Amino acid sequence: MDRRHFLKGSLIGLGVVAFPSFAIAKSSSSYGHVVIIGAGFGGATAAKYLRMWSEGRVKVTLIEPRPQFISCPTSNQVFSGAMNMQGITHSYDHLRDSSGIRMIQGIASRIDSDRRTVEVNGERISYDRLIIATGIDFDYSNLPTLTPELQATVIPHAWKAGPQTALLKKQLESMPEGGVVAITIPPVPYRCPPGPYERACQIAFYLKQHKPRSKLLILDANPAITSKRPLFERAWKDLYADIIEYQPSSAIENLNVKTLSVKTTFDTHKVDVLNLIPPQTASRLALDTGLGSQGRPWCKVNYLNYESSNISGIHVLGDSVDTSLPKSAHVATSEAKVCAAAIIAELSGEAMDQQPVFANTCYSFVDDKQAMHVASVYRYDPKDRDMHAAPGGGVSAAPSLEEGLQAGIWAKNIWADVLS
Amino acid sequence: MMSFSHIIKAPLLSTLTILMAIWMPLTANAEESGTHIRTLASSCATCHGGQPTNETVIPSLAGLDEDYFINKMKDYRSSDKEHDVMVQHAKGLTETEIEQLAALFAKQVRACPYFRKHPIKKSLE
Repeated sequence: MDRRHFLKGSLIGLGVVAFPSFAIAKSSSSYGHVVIIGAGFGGATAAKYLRMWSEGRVKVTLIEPRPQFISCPTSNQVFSGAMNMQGITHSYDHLRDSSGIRMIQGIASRIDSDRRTVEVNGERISYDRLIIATGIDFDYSNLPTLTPELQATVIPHAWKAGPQTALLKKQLESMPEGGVVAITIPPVPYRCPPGPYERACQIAFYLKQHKPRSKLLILDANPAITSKRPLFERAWKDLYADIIEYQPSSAIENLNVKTLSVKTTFDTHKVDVLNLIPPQTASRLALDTGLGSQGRPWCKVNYLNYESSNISGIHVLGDSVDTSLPKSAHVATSEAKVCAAAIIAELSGEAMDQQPVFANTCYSFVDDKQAMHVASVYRYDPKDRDMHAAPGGGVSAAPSLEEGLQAGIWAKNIWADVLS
Repeated sequence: MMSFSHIIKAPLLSTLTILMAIWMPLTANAEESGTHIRTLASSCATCHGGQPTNETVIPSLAGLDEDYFINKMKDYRSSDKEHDVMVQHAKGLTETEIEQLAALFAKQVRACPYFRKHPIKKSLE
């Protein structure tokens, strides 16, 4: 009999009584301490569900450099004007206060996996389990002229929502009528597979309303649209035929940062606004900690608890994971829930779920009101220890107003799930 | 780490029997359904919301009648509307998972924003 069952049994057997909040408060550190780095969709969800499902018995410290949560999902709509920066920015206050999480604003460093410590703001913190949910980083190694300063002021990626989103929005507004905007799309895998194509729709919608003689050039390193392909092709043809030009297999080979000239495999284009979405890797912190897979800049994990295949006691969630699962917000939150349940089970000496299953739904807007989705259930297969899409998954027949409404509620509900 | 004896001793001093009676069944329910279904249900709640924020576009699942949920999911599973989001999800689940989800959602208390504000709530308390 484990400790938890013994405790409950003894209380019932003795006919004793307990004041629940008292019991929870008094036992708040009884299962151990989990430190989470990164309070995006994955990290914040893990923090909340570790506290909730352990009934306060797991102590949680959440480290995040940003003072507020800024959502990547729906951030593309900032470019069409259907959303604004305020609408994608949310407070961490409720999550911190209602869940009893210690939240530290700072950048984590010096992970010592032998001593199980991590440093932040000069403080060394001990952990029983560490969760790294620090998302993606960018690989600019093929573009040496694109300095961090230029990335921040002239050539935004806008692939982490925040100041970059506001910068690209401002550049679109400042661009003269008849100008050329280019979006470059990195090779897979990258965060949010349909994201670049949704962004193209949102920028094209803005141009159609305000600068209809302008062009949007999509330079895709991939041989074809990587997600919802027939739906995006149809949307571009129906809605933006005079604006969008799509070029597949067009990786950037060279870049003149002064003239904004982009050289691809086939052509050179001089543009007015350049949204360069760079090739991506797991976060630098995860890779520097030694969590990268052999020959791949992503982190292999055990799908039963999201523990790193390389280092015990460290779990990796969300977009850093080396996986065929889509790098979406819904998947990150579902992984976080599987991870939280498994950590609680392990710390309390119980068995963890041996066949996790969860859902993914992802909406893309094609204009200011109409959206379309991709949806699937993913199920663990003990034979190859991998997650696989279950039969039945698929995409919308066409974009619709109804799915646009669903996408709006989806965003509100996932924000509430993560942050309240 | 908190010592085990502290947790045991402290409640002995307490006499709040009613609160204990309320607390224990809630805990037991969560354990009956298991972490597998609890985690899956929470993945559903990502879109559907833990509690109602909008009932017309994406309905909340908390407090749904068990048979209603099962029948609805069976309809989705046998539907040929292959582009419908719920048909796509329902076909990916097993019948056992659907029955266990139905039982879990039926046990969840549905908070009604209108009811919460309405004066009748006070008279029922």
